[in-house]
Amino acid sequence: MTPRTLVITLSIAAVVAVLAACLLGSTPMEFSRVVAALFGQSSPGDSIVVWQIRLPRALAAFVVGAALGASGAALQGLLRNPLAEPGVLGVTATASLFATFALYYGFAESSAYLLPIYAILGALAATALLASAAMRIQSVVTLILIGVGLSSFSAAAMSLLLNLAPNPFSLSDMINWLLGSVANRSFEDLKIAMPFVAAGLAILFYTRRGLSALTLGEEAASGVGLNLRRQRIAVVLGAGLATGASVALAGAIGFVGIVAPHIVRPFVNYDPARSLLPSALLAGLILVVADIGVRLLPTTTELKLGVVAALIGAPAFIWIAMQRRTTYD
Amino acid sequence: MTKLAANKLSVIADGITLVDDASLTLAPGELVAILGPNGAGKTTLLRAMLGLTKIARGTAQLDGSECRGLAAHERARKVSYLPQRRPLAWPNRVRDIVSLGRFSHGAALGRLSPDDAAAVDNAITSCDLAALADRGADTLSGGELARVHFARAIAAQAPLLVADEPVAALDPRHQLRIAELIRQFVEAGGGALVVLHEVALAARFADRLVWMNGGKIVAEGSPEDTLNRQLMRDVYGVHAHVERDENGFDVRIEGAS
Repeated sequence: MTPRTLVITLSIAAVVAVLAACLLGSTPMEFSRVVAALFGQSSPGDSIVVWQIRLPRALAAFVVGAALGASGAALQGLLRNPLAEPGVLGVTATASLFATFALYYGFAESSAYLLPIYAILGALAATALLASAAMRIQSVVTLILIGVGLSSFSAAAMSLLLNLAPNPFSLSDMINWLLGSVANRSFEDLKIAMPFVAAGLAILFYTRRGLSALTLGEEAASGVGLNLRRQRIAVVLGAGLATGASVALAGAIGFVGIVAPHIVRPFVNYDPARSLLPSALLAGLILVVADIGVRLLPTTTELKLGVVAALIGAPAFIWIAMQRRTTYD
Repeated sequence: MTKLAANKLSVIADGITLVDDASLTLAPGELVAILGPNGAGKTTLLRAMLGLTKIARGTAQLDGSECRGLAAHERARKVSYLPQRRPLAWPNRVRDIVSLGRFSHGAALGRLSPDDAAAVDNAITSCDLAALADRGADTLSGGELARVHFARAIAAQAPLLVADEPVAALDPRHQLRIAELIRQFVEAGGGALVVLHEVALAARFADRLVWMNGGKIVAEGSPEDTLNRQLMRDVYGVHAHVERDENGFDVRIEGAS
């Protein structure tokens, strides 16, 4: 399969998955009813189910997946390691921390855009810290350990903040932020997150050629004409924007940014630049399908999307880590 | 004519002088080899000349403009650089790795312009890589990989080439092969500045030898003028038997001095 047919296949699959998400649920709807609802030709009940519940939820899952998939692929290109990912590196956890801080201390009340902005600031702080550490440390294992530290610290700080928060909170709020969910998301939520995700992805796509050059190592990459400093800033900014906005929309969902690029890479001849778009599409597809699973599973309280993502992704992460030969480091 | 020049160049890091008052030029049509023991400042000098590291005193200029001020892609079009460490992050195809040499020309993998594709094909052919072009880099031997990196460097079609230990860890046959490729590049009108540890190989292929020790350039000149017992002892700290024959130089290390 060539990179082009891969992109086309994944695009079709993503559209089919979003449609399927509209069909399936606690009350399954027939295809004709969903189509009628999509085109405004149905009963008000069907219309509400499709337009206000299922479609925005499925699209939110896709957008979050796309943001995390592209960020993961870009961070892997920048750090030259297949284990780099916003979740593993602690970027999503830090974004969650900043978002909950803003939310529960009343900083996000004056405008709906402030929540994603705080989450993005958290993501940028984490990615900038990692990128500056990466300049001095060659070992990506060390970077991942920094990510583990960031994640643990963010979870602890979030717990502390929520205990001290002037606004009431429940444990389930914190679980929502740390495990991630797209339940009850509206088009309004999407509209607020989308510009940031789009800006982040645009920056990542704009600088994708530099990710190919980094295949050669940083020294040779600057030798062939890459401005390393600008490349680092662009990836930090792009991944920070996309990841931060996705966290504001759905909380911290991990591992999908590892799994998708890993599957995609052999199809694009291991070129980090050409892995960005298919990784975004595949990660979006994975989260849409995982969210359908979340809704269909007969559990008393709904499972978190992040739980399903980690159930699939964490074993994949371990497997990829065990496959790696030490000579690559 | 493109010229790379260091003038009274010094590099100081953390208070330690790594390169001290070094002056050196490279022009098309010549092969210049830098010799010297580990820690002599060879790599630092190369990096400083390319503008990749900060200069404390003196200048490094490419065609009269300061290298440090040049945009990376402008510099890359005039000088291609083959660093000492060449870690590949992914098992890319050989053709794609060579194509990355066209980065400064705006090439993107998977959609090369006709010019880029021609340059890549040319580099692949001249380095005998045609049979390996579609292989993954993780399936190649050390000698084959060295040729791939060299092909990447010449695919840029820059007039100058700076290579840091291009033959390190290669067997004698592959060392010769890479040296011949560099010579071929110079015969075709290029200029090459190469760090080598193989003194006899350098003396056989280079037009000029630059001897470094303790951050200083201690001698410079043709192999005939500079390669001798005295300099081998001063620079490397070894007793060496040096003899000139019809094939070049015979250098035999007899022991540490």
